[in-house]
Amino acid sequence: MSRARVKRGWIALAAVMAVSLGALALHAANPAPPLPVGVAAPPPVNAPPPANVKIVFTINPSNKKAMVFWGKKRLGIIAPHAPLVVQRPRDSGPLDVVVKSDGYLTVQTRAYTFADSKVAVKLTQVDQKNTLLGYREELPPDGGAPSNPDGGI
Amino acid sequence: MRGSFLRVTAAVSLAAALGCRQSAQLHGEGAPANHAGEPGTAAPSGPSTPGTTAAPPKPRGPVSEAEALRPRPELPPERRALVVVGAAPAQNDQPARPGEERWIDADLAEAAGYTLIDFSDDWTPYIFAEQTGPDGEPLSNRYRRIFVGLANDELDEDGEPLPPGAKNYLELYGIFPSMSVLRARFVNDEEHPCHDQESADALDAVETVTYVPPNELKKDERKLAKFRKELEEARRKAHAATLEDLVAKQPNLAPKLKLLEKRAAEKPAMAAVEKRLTCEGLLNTPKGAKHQEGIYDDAMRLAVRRFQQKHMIYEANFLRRKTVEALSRTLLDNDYDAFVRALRERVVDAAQILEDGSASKTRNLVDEYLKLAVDQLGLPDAASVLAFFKRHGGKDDLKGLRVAVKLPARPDYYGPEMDLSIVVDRGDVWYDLPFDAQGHYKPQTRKKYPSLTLYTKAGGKQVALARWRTTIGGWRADQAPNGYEYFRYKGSDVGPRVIRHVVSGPVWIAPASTPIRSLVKGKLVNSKWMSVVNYDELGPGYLSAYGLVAGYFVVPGQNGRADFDNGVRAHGSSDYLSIYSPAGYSHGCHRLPNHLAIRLYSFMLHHRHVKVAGDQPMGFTRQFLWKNTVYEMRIPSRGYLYEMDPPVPVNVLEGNIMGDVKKPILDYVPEPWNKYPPGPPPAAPTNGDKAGGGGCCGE
Repeated sequence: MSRARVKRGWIALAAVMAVSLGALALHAANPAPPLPVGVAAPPPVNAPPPANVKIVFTINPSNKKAMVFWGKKRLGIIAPHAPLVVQRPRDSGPLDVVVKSDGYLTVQTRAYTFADSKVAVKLTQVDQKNTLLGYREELPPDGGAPSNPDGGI
Repeated sequence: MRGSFLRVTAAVSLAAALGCRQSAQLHGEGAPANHAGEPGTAAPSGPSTPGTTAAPPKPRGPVSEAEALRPRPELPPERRALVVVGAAPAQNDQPARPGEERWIDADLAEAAGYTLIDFSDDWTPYIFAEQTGPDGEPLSNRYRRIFVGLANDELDEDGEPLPPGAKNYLELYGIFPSMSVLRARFVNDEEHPCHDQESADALDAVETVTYVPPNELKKDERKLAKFRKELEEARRKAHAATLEDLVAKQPNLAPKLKLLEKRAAEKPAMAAVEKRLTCEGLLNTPKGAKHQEGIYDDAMRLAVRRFQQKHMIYEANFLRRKTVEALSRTLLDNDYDAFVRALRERVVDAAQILEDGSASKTRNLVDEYLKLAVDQLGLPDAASVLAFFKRHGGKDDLKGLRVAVKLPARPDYYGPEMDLSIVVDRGDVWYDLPFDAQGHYKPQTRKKYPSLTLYTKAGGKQVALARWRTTIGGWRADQAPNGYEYFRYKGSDVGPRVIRHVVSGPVWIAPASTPIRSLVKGKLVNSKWMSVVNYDELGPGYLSAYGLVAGYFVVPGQNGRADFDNGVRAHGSSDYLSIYSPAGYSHGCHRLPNHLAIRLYSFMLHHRHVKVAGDQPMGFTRQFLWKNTVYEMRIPSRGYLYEMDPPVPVNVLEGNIMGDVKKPILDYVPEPWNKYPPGPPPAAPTNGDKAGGGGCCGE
């Protein structure tokens, strides 16, 4: 990692901490007013769920790199041991994606936007495709005819 | 820190899991009450909507007619209903009276014996209604949003926004257009009638339009030219003045002349069809397939299919009788029929009835109540509905609209716990292979088709409430473990069963024997056409193998054992041709058109004790290989579960075994036209039930 990148990381961390401390200070300065004695607390208001959902894409084996496509668009890269995190509007319909990795069969899968979710995609090496459901035994060149055909009649 | 976080997370998860297992209980009619013609039973007209303000207390005891009909225009939309006072249908040469519309108190109307019919745009049949758990927490149905979006032309089958101006025509699949969609249709069609007398006459002159495949057009033309020549020569020889005179002298030539006349009449009819479908925006659309004039090509077939979907016509995608009839009617007349169909489902839902005249000797409550609703609302024709929609066209006017009608009391056999049962009669059953060794099709005629009947017990007798055509299993393509497709008999189990679980928005978990080709489809994904897992088939959705709702047939477990589930269900289906065509079969399940399955299960849920278990989350994934790509199906939920408590008894009758083979063949049978690896077919999996096949539909 370059020194510049390390420096940028520390600056970002410091900024996050400053904002957090600020928020805490603000909360301390403006505490919620105490409830009057004998008055029941109002029922908790059901906060609406966040507008976006978070979808975390990972692959197995996790030490490989893969690209994730959504139609024409490349959503991003799953790096070795680093998932791809995508945000989508909640309830905006499913995300039909394609996961591509060198040496492995392309995988078409789907992520949903009902809630935060994880999509762990198992990759299969090209030469292991006979382990998958739907693999068809190759037909012999003669189309399955017996090797000792009957003679003419 | 990490440990305590995990402990807290675990505790929260456990609580959530326990919460999920809890279930709401609906006790027959105690759930949604809106009982036709039964005063003094005012209760919420539907499931409570979370987040709405508390409703005022319900009126107790009977309410007088005058009190109920007191005008209350000041009430907020959620507390009022529209009634039409003094409307009357045309009778004895007297024109129909439109009556006077009035806003009244919805609760008082119910207490006075009115039935509230929901005209709102977010109406769904009862099976998709929002339910609440025992603690009042909402048990949301994840397909409801999509159902409402589809009915309102806002979403597609995946729940993604529909492109502007796009339409869902889904009545054939059990999703009727919302009142706002119908309103837009009426208003638009008044401005663009798409109807002229010349076209109507051309269509009236034919009953059907012959389908000639595009690649056989020339051959067909040669055949017709030959007939023309033959007739002309015969006319000259016979010294007949006209061909009609010739046929009078030589009746054996009549069929040829009739054919020529029919085909001549079909040409202007075909032109009228093209004109009409183009005007309706179904043919020659900017993005649609290109159509060649006068030819029944793919573009025409797709347009006819859309037309049939729009007008709920159960016919194959050709210009057959019902389709041609609908094409010859005015748009507004067709819109009126669509309105009546949509109203029918709402009346059935509000009155919680099922009897549609399909079971002989039982009243046709559905049509009876529908007619009363139409009459009382003063909506006897297209013009009156158009006027109604124009009166109620405000932005939010149709969103929460309910109308009140007075319907007669339901028959005495109605009650909070109806003694319901189902009988499936398999009709004529063939176990023989439907083809010979050369692969030639062998017809297997059936005189008696399978039927599903819902009964209730009244006064010690069984009363059939509805009897509908359904499917049984037959010979189907099945994928063997070697990846090749064989034929296999997928039968429907015989004998007593029960329905314990009813699932709305069910998901079909395709068994491993499902032909892979059916599990992949083309889809436009973010502007790119690509192959994806065919979730249409899996569900939830109107195209799902289980349709919009399914009841699971099981043999009840004895002595603490689990139920035996052989995969047979009675479920909705978009494949209406498999239900109504002579050669239609299922994989063992009993299919019903979606709208009838919705009626059936809504009725059962209304009139039996039911536990609402709600959404059934799952994390099912399965990968399969198709053309060198791995497809991964991911299913987040099995659907929305209702548990019938006690379960509803089912009996499946064996039917009449036809043909030479008297027991189902359980092995794989090679398809004569297919090539296979050397050796015998793999052994077929056994499903543990020998009563007639079974294992129809997967998990």
